[in-house]
Amino acid sequence: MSATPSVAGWSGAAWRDAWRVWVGSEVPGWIFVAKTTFAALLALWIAFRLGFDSPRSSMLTVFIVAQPQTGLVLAKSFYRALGTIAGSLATLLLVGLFAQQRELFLAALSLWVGLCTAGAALYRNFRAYAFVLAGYTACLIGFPSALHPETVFNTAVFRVSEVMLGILCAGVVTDLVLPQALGAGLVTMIRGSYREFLGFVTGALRGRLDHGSMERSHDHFVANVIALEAQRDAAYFESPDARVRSDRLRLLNAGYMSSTTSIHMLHQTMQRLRRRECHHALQRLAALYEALAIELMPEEGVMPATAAEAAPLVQRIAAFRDDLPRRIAAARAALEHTADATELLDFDSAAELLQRFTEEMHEYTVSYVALARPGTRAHKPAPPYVAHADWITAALSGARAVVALLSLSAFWIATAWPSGAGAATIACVFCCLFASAPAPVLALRGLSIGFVWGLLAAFICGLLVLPQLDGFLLLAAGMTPFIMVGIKLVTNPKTAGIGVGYSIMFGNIIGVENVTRFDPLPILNDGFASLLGASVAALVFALLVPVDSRRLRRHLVRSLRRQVLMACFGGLGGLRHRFENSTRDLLGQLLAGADRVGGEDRQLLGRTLSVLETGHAIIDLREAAAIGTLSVGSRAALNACIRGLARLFEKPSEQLRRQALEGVTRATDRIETAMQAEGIDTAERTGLRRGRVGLHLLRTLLLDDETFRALSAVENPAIAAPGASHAA
Amino acid sequence: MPREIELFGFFMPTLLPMFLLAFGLQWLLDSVLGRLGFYAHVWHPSLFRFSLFVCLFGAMGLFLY
Repeated sequence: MSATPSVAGWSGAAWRDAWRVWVGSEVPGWIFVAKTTFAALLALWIAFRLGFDSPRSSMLTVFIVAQPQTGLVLAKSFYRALGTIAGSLATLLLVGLFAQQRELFLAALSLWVGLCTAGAALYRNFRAYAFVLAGYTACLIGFPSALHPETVFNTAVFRVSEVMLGILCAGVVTDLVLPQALGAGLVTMIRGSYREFLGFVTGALRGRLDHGSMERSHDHFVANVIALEAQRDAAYFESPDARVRSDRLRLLNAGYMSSTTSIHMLHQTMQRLRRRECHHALQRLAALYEALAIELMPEEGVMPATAAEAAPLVQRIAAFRDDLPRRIAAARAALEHTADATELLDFDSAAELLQRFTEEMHEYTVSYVALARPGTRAHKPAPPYVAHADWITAALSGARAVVALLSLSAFWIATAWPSGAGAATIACVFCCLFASAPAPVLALRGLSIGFVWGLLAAFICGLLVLPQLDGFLLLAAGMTPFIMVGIKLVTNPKTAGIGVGYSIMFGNIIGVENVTRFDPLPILNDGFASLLGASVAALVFALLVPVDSRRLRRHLVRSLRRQVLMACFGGLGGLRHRFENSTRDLLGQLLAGADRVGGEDRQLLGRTLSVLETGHAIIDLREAAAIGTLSVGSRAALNACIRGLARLFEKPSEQLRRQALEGVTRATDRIETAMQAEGIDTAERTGLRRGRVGLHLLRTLLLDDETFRALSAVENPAIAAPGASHAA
Repeated sequence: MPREIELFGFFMPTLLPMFLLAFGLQWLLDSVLGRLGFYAHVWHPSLFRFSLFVCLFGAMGLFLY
């Protein structure tokens, strides 16, 4: 870049360029600010006209559901509506049960909020938001009713109406005025990830990627899978077109996920072969990989830019897949003269993986190409996205909310502070809202900063500006600049937390009501109550088994290893997808809070890959064990082997490792005998061969000290120490 | 038609269930039109959808007032 000339020296072209850059980068943000401000004021106006109890709730709802894309707004709105209704019904029930006993009522309310928080922690997408709302709507309606039980029904009706009004205004304005659909971004994202993956695969197959870049891209793939699922979920609400495509998108994501796993498993296998210096097998495999790479993308070929351009790839991959067994058999026959039995098995397992990868890449490409055709259904039923739900984390979040709410309720009763209910409500909101956030204390700090600024702005606007004005139009004009500041802060990811805090505080404290009072006392009282509530929530998050604490992380890392148990004992129908998906989801959760500088993310990725490899091998084995013609003794040996592995992964130790290895050896003998038996058909032979290859892979993994160390590092530091002896 | 209906001792304007009905109908129509590829010929699909809803709800409201 040349030295920046002074503004006076700019030519017309430079001005035009600067204008275009500014329009490209800044205008979308300002459009969003203008739309949200307009929607908020519209909601406020209608709420005033209808004479709602607290018109500000409608305005606050607009602030909260406001997002740049229509789909996100509609999804958040839908779950907000659902949660509000559920929370209102729950409060009506609780008030009906404990109307006379304030203490009992508050205890029951805390329990309900705890349950909702636990629910919010189980789901980490928009569905979590419904739980959050169910929890805090109960607080919003319930606390006033603790003092005046007779008003609860009216309060509930008004609350639901106010929220619905806010939702309607936000939805209609976002969708009608200069709409930004999620669909367009989704298309770009899908095309980008297909191209990127294709480039990655061809690079990996030609052996041009080093270990570091493999790991980095895997990290990226995991994030992509989770992001695509979130977007698909939200786009569902946007248009019927997106709804028609929803199943196909899910299928695409499943294909993407399994192909990324396979390519990495393939890479791991090659790494192991290289480490053991099996040159003959490597040479033969490299030729096979090169052949696939050429089919996917010729050396001088161009990347398919759209799904339609990728269509020829489907036939090419299918042709390669059908031809692959012949090629593998030829390579194997050539290898048989030079390699020993172990190397042949290594070759078999790599070839098996290559076949699996080719099949999955075909699936992925088929789903990708199918997206381009309008109106067609998914070519096969799409498996649902399986998130990893961690009950312990959820229970802890619930407990946190209960503690925060009970202590604030006690404080409220003991001091008879008029704003005590407000403090408890805010604490509850935050306990629910950040139940599944990776760094809740940090997020709460941003919000609290926003709170202080919002309080200040409400003070200025409410006590200095608004008393000068008369009528709704002037009120709106007076509030607009203050509202815009908050939403502008939200548009910048860095200050989004502060912006949300500011908007909530401002909207809440400005206290525009049907009978206007200009009184600093309630402003300060309510403001301090909100700050106290936020502080108590932050305290609870920081003190009660912090989410980022080492112990909780260790628990999650241990559940990562225990995913193998799912492969061992889960029902076989669709098991591969469920296992893969929930392992991915768990990895995504772990990566969100990983220490990237310290290399924790790399360790996690390595561990996940080992878990995935082991799990897939075990599933192969289980499928082999389910073959009908297998003798009872063989089946028992296979099952015993699986049980031994399960024990090992439940709690790794040297002894269990030895036992698992013995089990694998016994199962290998059995399966080899079974393969030589007369009267088995091709399908059964394929199944048995897969099981045999799986056993070989398991054996390799068990013997590999590095893998074992990585897997058992969590609770067995003695084994984790390098150079520890093993007697395998 | 009565302008208010009673549900378990709770009076609500008949417009409310009508609103929900119109919403359901609109969702149905919207899916059918989307499947037929109708929205490819519409300049502003969301505006069309919104107007469709207003028409439905307004037509139902005519029974009341």
